[in-house]
Amino acid sequence: MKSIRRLGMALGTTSLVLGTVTVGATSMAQTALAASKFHACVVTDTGGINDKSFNASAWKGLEDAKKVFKNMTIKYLSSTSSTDYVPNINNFVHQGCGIIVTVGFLMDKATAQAANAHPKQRIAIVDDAPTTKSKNVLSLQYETDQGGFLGGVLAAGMTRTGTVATYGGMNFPAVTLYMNGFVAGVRYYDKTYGAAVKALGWTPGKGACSLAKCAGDGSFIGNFTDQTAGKTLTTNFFSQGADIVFPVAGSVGLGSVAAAQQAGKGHSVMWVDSNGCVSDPADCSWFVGTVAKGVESSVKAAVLSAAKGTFKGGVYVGTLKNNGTALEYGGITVPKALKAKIAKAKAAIIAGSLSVNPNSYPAK
Amino acid sequence: MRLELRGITKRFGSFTANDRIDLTVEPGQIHSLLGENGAGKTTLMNVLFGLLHPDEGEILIDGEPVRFANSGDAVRRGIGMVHQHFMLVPVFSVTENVVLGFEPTKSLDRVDYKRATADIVRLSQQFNLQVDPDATVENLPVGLQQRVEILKALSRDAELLILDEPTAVLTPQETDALMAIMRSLAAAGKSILFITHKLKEVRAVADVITVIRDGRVVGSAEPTATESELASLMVGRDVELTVEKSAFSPGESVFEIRDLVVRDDRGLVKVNGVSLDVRAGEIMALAGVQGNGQTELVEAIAGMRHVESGTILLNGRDVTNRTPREVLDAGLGHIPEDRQRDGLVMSMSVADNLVLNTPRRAPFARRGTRNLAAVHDNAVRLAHDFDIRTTSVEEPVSSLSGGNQQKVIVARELSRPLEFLMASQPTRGLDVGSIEYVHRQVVNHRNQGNAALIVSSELDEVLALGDRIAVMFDGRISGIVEPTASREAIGLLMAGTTGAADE
Amino acid sequence: MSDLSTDPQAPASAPSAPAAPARRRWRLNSRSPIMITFYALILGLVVGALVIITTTPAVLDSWRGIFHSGTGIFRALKVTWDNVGAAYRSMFNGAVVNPANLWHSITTGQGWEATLTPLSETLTYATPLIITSLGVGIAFQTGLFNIGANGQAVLGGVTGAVVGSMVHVPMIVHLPLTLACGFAGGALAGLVPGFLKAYTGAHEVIVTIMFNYVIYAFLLFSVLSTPFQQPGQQNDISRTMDSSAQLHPLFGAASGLRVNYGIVVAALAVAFAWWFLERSSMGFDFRVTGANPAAAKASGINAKVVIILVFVISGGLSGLAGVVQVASTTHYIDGGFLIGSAGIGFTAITVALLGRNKPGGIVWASLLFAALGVGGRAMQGTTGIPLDLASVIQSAIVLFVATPVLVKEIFRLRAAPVVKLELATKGWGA
Repeated sequence: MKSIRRLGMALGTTSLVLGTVTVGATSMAQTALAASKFHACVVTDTGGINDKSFNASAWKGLEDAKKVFKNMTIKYLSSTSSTDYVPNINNFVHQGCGIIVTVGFLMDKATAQAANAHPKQRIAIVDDAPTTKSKNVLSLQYETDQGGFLGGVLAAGMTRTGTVATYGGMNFPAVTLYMNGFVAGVRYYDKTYGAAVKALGWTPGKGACSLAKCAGDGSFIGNFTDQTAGKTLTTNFFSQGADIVFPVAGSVGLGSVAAAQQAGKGHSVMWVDSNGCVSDPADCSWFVGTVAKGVESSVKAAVLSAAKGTFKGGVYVGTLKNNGTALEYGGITVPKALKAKIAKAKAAIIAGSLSVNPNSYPAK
Repeated sequence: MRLELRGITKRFGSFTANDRIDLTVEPGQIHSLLGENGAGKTTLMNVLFGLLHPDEGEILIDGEPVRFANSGDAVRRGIGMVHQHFMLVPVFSVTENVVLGFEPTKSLDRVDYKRATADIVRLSQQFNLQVDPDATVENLPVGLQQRVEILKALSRDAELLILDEPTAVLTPQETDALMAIMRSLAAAGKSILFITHKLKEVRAVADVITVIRDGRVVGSAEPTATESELASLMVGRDVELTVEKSAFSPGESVFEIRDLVVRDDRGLVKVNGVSLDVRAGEIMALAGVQGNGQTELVEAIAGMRHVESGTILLNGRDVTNRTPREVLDAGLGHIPEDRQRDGLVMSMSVADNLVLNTPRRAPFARRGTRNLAAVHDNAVRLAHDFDIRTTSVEEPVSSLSGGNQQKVIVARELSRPLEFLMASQPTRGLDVGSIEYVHRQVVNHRNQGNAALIVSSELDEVLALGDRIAVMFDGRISGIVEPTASREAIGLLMAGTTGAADE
Repeated sequence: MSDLSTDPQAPASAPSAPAAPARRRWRLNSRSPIMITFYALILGLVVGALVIITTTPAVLDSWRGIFHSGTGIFRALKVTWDNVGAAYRSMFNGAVVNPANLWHSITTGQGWEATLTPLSETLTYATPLIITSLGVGIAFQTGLFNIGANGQAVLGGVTGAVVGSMVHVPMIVHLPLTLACGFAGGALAGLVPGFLKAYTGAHEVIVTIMFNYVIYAFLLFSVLSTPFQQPGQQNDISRTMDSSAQLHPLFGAASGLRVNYGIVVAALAVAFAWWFLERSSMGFDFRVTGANPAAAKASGINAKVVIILVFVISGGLSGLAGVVQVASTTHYIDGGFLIGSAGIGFTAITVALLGRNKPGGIVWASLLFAALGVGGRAMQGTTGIPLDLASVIQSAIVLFVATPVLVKEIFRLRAAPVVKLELATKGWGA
């Protein structure tokens, strides 16, 4: 033990010497690199830029921004685990990126750490309610319960069996916020139009939902990859009488599509995050709609603001109003009357006169 | 077929394994290649079978020079080889094994088993090689498996058969049967190259004997030569075939087993009520044909196999169903039957193998840390005392010849404080020099007033070493005789005829 | 086995005796594991280059240009060279040192952080990898496959992080306690498969693989449904470890260098593993059991005890690696901790094989893998070539190391006769 401590002291002394030398050296290297072009960089989560989900959407946002702002190079680094976040962000800090986009709440701490260590570094973090406020961090949040609400109204209006269902990948707020809004939409439809549509797969908890906390019980796969489990669960819902299923579980949802195809016409799927008819056109006829999250557009806006020098830290909240979340129709024809009901609800939510909290519409 | 080897030389680096070897095998002749382990016999056969390429010299078949790129070439030229370790698929039938790789086919590439079976039956009858073509190989006794190998070679039209140490795995009866087969093959015009180091067999069956030593042909002999003549040719010195023993004066009983019952892995009773005692200053030899329960008995004594009932006493202490460690600590020295499997760790150094069962004993370790210097010194000393020939004691034991490997085990066991030495088939597969050496060590041990149990299926060994000879048959002791008993008497006991015992 | 190898009766006056010393040296060289690994590394980089060439549009276009737009073959070669060169240069710069930065630091005395970061990152990544690989290597040396190292690392990380974040004592107690609990967690995760193997004969590969999933599920449970979850969070994220339980950066947080006291832990683990395998009596029992279980039994070694102890030690080291990983970098655990492609327990299997299960070899193999991983990251950041290329190179190296005959063939190493001899005489007896 003694010898270990001595070793530690020796190393500590060295660190002091080195520490004094390093001060102020990095900023110089940064400016040297950054002078010529604007670099927009994204650190993805473990999914990588081809995950057909948020990471892909964030990367798409960068690509879209590059089309607008020509003098821009875009780069990405994918993380293989949470231990990669800090070095990946640091890597881009050292490369002099004009803005670094980080994806997902799991990067919250690493992002805050980098933001505090490099107060001039502009950072945008997707889908996170930051636990530490930093002036140079823009947090992109999406009130997906608003979009989910409209999805619930659509499903309730479309169902022929009087039962709809939802399930999630895992019991996280980013997932359950959708499901909560969906159930609220169904209940709102029941109450407003005197219907008796049942929503399976999610029982809202008490209180309102936010990106940091959205409690309740429901059906979860346990991951975002097991399509077979998604198919099994969906078939299960069908046998309980449901005909429309809303999976909030990334690619697991493809299992639901397979289940609907197997069950045959009259069964459909509500897609999530990005328009199903665009990302998976072959299955468009099985999608009744998509509850979308505006990751691309918000990332693009954040990058462009950084490039133009108008970047400001804080919180961006994606709502129905600013298209940060939306309901998009799929390949199944929706009656005009129902579309009108949905438009009415949307307007009311934007106006703030309609609650998306399911507890406002107690289940019968 | 007439095979001629002219000046075959094969080197490995600086080591010459075969040095200008000349050899001629005439048609219908049984030509015996006799030599100690490490003399270069196997290398020569690998050259002849196309597995190695000679650096110099040539091979002639019926006067025509041939070159074998691989064993397939050799097979096509009529050379068949029966390996010491059989190259058979255990779960296939005899027919399937024989035709493997050379299947006769019908239309659509289907194997023509009918024709294959007919061929085998014809060959069996022609050469007196009875074996059921539909039997599964793994169910056959070793002797019959060997017949399948021979059939395999014959079915590929072999004119010359190479038999590499064919009797090493056989019982005496099976050996006799093999000899008969060899004679009938020779009578049918096949040539046989018979590799062995067993003098008795050579004299019994060979037409011509060539002796090689250190990679060179050192002489040829007629089968009429005496065993000691052949032995001196092989080892280059006169060999003592009998062991000098001091007068027999047994002391107290050191080791005793009473009514022991042991089952094998399949649950069959293999040792069925064996009682035996060994006294200080005595060698008890346990004779018997392999497979009559000796292996299970030895394993049970060593703590490696569960004892169903009965007791084992070592120096008065009950060691029944104790762990191997406890039995070893109680003073058992064990030279196992399968030395490479149970006695040595082939990839480890000679030095480590010499402390294999005493790694924690002073001075080899202190408080859990090994003292490698002590281990090394111990090895150097034992290598000298027990004549273990190795370039360095830090070499892996796999680099030693079989005899030297056995010496490592003997050295390890005899260098520990022992009450009782148990040696199972201690000289199997060893050359004459090593056999003599091991025998002398065992006798020394006994002469110092210690007890020993020697389990052997070699009658010569049993007779040379034993002060008393117990014979085991079908899980029981069929009799205990004095070493002066006749071979016939012991043979009868080994065949299970009880009541012929002298005692 | 063979009657050809070191035979004491070999004639002393062999005709080729004068050439012998030189030949022996050559043979030793070309057969030595270090040289094989070195050649395998080169071949791995060649394979990587081929992947770059066949997947980089700019390079492919330049070659297509020879036929279509008439640009010369030299231009195509130059483009190829530039791209491959840039990739490997960025890899080296990102994993070892950027020469430009180094020159800048030496001449001006500034910018040491940027200069030393690559090395620091490589060491940071190598630290837990070394420790896990030692655990896997010890199991291998005993003839047992510990495929469960990843689960053991996860459980070690969880137990360590629980103690590190929920027990509050001074550092002198806290840090050792945290590390010990990590070791204990991994050892516990190893004990179960070890026990099943020893007493029921269950195959350790199956059991350890399956046990990984049990532990992954437990990990999620622990960060989602227990007080270990970060208060105020519903996401799968744990509490943060106290500063007193963390392995702090060697040169202080202000240095920006992440290399940390974890390497002291790793060094101690290496020293322990070396002593254990090469010098301890118990390690001797382990190696005997691994090399020949039958002889081990006959020599009085209790196989059951050995099997259980192997899994306890192997699992304990993996668990230690897990807690070192948390305590040195993130200080918290999330639901994806060490799962998927980040699973050091799986990388450790290849690292242990590459390092031939020897502590020294494992250190070098870990550093190599860490450098390829860290360098691959830098390469992705600067050139846009996917990080997966690093995995391709890693895999290719292991492949080539596993097939030394192929490497020798490619580099025309004339050690072939020796190899053939070994093959030809295997199982032939004498």
